[in-house]
Amino acid sequence: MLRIYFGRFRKNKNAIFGLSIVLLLLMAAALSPLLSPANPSEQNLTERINGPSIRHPLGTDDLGRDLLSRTIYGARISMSVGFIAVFLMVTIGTTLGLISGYSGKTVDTIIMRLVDIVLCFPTFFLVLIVIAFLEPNIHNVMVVIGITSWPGLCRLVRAEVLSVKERTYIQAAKVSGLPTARILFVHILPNVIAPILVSATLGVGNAILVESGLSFLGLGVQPPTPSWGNILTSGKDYIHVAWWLSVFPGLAIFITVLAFNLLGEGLRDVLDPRM
Amino acid sequence: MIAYLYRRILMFIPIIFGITIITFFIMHLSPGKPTDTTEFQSKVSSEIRQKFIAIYGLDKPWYVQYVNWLKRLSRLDFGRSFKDDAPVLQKIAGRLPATLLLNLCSLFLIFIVAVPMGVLSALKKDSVFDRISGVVVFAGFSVPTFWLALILMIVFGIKLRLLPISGIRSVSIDEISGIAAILDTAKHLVLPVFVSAFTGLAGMSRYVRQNMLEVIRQDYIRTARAKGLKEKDVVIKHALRNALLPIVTVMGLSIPGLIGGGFIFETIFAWPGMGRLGYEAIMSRDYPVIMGVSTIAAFLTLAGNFIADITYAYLDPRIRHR
Repeated sequence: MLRIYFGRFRKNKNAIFGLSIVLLLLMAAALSPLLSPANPSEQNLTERINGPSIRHPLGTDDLGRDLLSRTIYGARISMSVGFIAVFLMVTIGTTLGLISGYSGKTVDTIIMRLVDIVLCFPTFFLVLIVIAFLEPNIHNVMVVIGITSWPGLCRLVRAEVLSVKERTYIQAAKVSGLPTARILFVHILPNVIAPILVSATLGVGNAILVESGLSFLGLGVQPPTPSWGNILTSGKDYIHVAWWLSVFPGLAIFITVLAFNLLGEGLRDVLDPRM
Repeated sequence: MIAYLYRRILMFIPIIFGITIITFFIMHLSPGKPTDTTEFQSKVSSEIRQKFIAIYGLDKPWYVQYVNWLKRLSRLDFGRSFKDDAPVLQKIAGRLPATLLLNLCSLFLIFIVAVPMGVLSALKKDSVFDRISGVVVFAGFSVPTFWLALILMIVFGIKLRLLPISGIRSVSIDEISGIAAILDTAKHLVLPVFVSAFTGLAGMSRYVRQNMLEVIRQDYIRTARAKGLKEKDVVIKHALRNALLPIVTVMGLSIPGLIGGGFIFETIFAWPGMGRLGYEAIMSRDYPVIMGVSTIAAFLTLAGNFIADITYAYLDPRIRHR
């Protein structure tokens, strides 16, 4: 079975392209100190706001810091926020989805109402409130994105569970007296792995978008730690004179999110050929 | 049918409750009161600060404050802004038209572009057009809206000087009137509407394409073709009507996204809408305004879903006659 998936995956050009970029980004994040030509926080006031050149391929910012190095270091932030937020999203969404679909009745109703509530909220507003009222830092950003993005996945998992739980082998597991937790995580979960994998991949892209938006508004990762969002914010003030400060970090976000979306959609094609 | 709508409305009540409780709870989770901001500290004596705390009941536990807030809400009283003492409802009412104008324009744009785009790429699956629209869709999903806004501002506002980059009207608006004033606002609308529609457009056209692909495989489409109907009639009269049905629901569901997106780009474009009001309120810890904005936003979302449900039921006889 795995070999079939692998074969299909190899033929999917979009997915391969997405995966290559994701791997490159992970490498950039892991090896930032080796890859960046300069120290990302080293200021050089004689070289403020210089356009792209051989010495500074992406130019320098208002404090003379090398934009390429800052962008490479920014990958660390985006990747860690993306993956940790999605880890939370998957944990919450999957657990609640499994419980909701399997137990039915009152528990199901309560969890589904909770899903309705979170879905009716303009999520970004909720995130803004939480971050502004707690403390804007990278940990809060990860947690908040994680706990606001689970409802979609929860619904998806629940729907899958509803169709799986009537099958005879689940009935058999129930009759043989297995504990519910074991039935849920050992017998039902493997059936819903595919949609979880797809939404997790798409979720990383989305989390990176939200983080950059928050940092752009000054509520995410705080300077001087370079994040693509906060580099853009400082670029905004120099929009009339220094286009590179606005263009390159945004391009980095765009390409990263695009890569995760291509990979996610590719995985969907591979795992669920009905679509 | 009426029973169905009635049930839907009843379901709104717990949702509104839930949203307001969560907002309230989070605001009060944070250490410190709105009176602790430096702005407040520097301008106001401690005596007045105590009075302020007493008036708004800020010294009571959050659930007591919430119940008081609910009591006032039942009289449609959202309270007054901490910042300038203006009634919250009046502040929101002042900002709502700009937000509605922006969102309705972008919903309209999404609809008139996404439907033909989705239909065409479904009918000509794997053609050049389908591929190009696929690229547009992925770009729409992946582009950070605030960055797109910045780039468009650089290109159209600063380099080409074609369009205004901020606000809803020119400063000199009082000197012009009638058509010129409308044109002026329209010009200010172009960039914000485009930016806000771009993401929604991607989702919608993909959705239309998916639906259309499913519908044209149905037996009744084969029957229509076998009857010898013109391809145009088959597509428009038989396929499109069925493919568009679920779109109504998706339109309704896209409202929170539009409102939520507004918090960023209304700020960038200095658009005098609800999103910017909400952002400013959050930054200055203006509790009553934050509560007002989140309640109204939730209400708008629910109203949008409700209208979508009614429209869906009206369009789909299977639901209408149930």
